[in-house]
Amino acid sequence: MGLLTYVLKKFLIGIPVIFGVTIILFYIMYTLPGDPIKLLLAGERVTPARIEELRRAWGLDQPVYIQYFYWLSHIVRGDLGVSIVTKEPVALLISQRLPYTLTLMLISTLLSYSIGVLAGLITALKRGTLIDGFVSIVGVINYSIPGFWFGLMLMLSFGYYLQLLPISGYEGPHSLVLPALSLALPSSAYVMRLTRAEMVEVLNEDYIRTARAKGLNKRRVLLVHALRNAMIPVVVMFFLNMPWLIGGAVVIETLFALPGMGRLLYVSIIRQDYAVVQGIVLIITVLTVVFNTLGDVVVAVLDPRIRVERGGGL
Amino acid sequence: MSRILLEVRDLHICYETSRGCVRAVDGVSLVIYESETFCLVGETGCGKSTLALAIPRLLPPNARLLSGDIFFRGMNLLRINENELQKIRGKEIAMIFQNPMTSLNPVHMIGFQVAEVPATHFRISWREALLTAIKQLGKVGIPDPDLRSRNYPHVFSGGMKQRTMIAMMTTCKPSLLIADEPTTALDVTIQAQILKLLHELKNEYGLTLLLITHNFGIVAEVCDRVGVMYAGKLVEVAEVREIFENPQHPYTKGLIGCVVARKKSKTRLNQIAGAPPSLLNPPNGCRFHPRCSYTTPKCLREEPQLIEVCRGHLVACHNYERVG
Repeated sequence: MGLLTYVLKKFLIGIPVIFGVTIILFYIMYTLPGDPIKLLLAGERVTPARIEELRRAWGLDQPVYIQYFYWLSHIVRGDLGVSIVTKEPVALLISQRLPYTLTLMLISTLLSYSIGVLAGLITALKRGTLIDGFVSIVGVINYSIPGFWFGLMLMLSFGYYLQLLPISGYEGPHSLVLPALSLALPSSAYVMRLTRAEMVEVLNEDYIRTARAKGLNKRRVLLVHALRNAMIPVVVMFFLNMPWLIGGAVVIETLFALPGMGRLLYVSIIRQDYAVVQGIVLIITVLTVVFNTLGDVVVAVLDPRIRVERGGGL
Repeated sequence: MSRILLEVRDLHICYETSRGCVRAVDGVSLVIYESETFCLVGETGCGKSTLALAIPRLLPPNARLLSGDIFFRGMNLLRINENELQKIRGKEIAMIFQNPMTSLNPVHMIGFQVAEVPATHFRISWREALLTAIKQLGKVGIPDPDLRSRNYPHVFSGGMKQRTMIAMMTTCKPSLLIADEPTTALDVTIQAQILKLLHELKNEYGLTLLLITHNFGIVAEVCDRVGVMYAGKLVEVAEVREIFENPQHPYTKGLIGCVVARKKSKTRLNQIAGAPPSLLNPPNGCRFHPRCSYTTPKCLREEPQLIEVCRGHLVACHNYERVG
């Protein structure tokens, strides 16, 4: 009962956050050096009058806050504007690219969490043994390897020498294997370390001793009493990390020349394509807020203590 | 005297630490009879909790059982396997811990945590187990047990959490209930209620209570027999009246002296001079000799054994005749 109000409140808090981010974002783009009109003309020789005309046509002659409100009034109507470079609607550009990025994120997240949680549980349960030592060392190595370098090595081995998987462009779902791996590896090591630390801590808790004193078997102690408590921080990280994964996708998509949103963002920043960059960052902001809120909700479901503020006592 | 329920024979337990082996229980032998209340008293760190945890084999991973036997109804608890042990824990031997605040799982409802015990040990449905749990919660004095069983531990007070622990550990009417300082973490008024509850349940179910405490007030109130531990050793065992009226070990005498002194105002509190020895490197001979006022050269050389000075009264002291 308290849970629903809690969820609603968390989502409402997200709205001003999104507004705040749009203001900061718009201002940063505005203060960036470079003139989009010159980029647009790309060295074409035109009269200053023509430049002024273009500037007026794109609304760039207005003060920054006017430009912001103009943009915002379109956003709330679902219009993300038009790319200054390709003249295509931003919403269309993003909707073409977003599925690739979301698929990549989904695959790499599933990969990193299934590997990380499993490895973390094994090392926690086999603490102090050879398996623990070996897996932990592999984890540290994985964690230290930058994703882009690992991506290059994957390209070299699977794409160039073995010729098993494509190294560049999108030719079908198998094109996502190497990028997903290079995104998943470093984060799986992080997930493993967190899972291990949490599990080791929970196994030392008094309530685990209570569960054993009750005569429960080992599996039940582990699954019903330890796992749920240990997984709470891991779940939090799962949701908080989603936006970072988009950041990682920018690098990896560029490296593998995937037609995703990350690569679009990279290209648009280089071209100073205001409308596209703003559109993408807005999407990222919304995704971030949504994932954070989802994280709060899932944690509230897992941990009854979080709901206390709602008077969840009775 | 009734039948023997539990017998501990020459038990040695140490904790492995970075500085060496801490011999927390060093050669303890002890007998507990059916449906009695046996109190184990001693200062913090004397090994009484370690001894208690060793009975259902719930010692932390760094503890090593070096040698000894624990017989429960003729079955050696230290020799049976984990599966057999699981059938005994919670059903035959139950345990209540010192800190109720951390002993309940924060993410499960009270009713669920209690119901797990009958659901594990009896062939009953989950619904029946839950009903048993609610009934037991009512029995230990939780108001509105039906409603409260759907609460999470964080809304319970310390006293209610300890009542929940007691409900959980008594649903199967165990033969032996080990209570490891069950009232230490609670305030004084609640302490008395919890002790009263334990005493009532003991009488109703006819269970045997092994109560670990460092509070002689509790000992006087509820115990039948008392064992005094010092530095990993049992130094005196006797019936409760005998302990108070005729303590034979200088350490027991000192402990009782501390309590009695509280009743006289304006005088300085009695104390036992010095501190308990390190169990990493305990003193030679009698471990109490550095703090004892009866020390003789023999105490430094030779370790005293538990001997029966009169019926049911055991003492480990070379000079008990001078002490008593």
